[in-house]
Amino acid sequence: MRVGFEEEHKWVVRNSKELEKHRGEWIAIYKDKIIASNKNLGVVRKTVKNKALFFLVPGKDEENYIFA
Amino acid sequence: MRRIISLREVLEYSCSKIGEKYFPVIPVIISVNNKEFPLEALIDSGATASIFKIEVAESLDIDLEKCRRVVLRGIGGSITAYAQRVALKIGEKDIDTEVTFSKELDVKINLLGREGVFDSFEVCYNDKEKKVKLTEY
Repeated sequence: MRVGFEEEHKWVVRNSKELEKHRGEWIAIYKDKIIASNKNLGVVRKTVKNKALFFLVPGKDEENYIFA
Repeated sequence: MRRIISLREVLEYSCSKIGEKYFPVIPVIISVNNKEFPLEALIDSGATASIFKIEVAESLDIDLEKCRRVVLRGIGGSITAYAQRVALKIGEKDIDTEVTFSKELDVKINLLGREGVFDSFEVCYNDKEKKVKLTEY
C-alpha cells in the first residue's frame, strides 16, 4: 500500500482553482487528478476502484468557521 | 516532504488554498474492520476529539449501534457523536485511538483533534509559510 498519499496531497495544495469548482463535494484524487466527485460519498466510493485519497472540499460557509 | 531526524518522523505539509482561505489539511488513513479510508482532514488544535462526517463511518462499515454515544460541545452548541476505536495512519506512524463520527456535524470538513494526533506529534503551524509540521514524539 502506498503510505502517505503525498502525491495526492500535493495535488490538493496545487489545484486551488479546481477545488473551487467542487466546494461542498466529496472528491477522490488518484495520483495527479480527480477521478470522481459528488455530494454523496457513497456515489464517489462506488465509482472509485483505485486507492484514492478522499477529500470533502470545504464550502463557502466554512471559510470563516471556528472549528472548536 | 518526509525526513527522519534522530529516528523521529518529521512530516511537513503545505496548506490547501480554497477561495481566499488556507486550510491546514493533511492526509490520514482511518482503518477499522479490515477496511481503510484515506482522506484529507483538517488539523484542529481547538478540538479535543477527531470528528468525521457520518458517511465516513458508513464507508468503514462501522455499526453505530455498537459505538459509545458522546456529546461534543463547542462554541456553536453541542452535537451527538459516536465514538469508535480505530487505527489512524499519519505518514509512517500508526496510532490506535478513539475518534468520533456525527451526522450533526454541519460543516463540510473532517477534523483531526488533539487526542491521538497531538499526543503523538508535536504540531507546529507556520502561518507565514502556510505549512503544518508534525514531529513525532
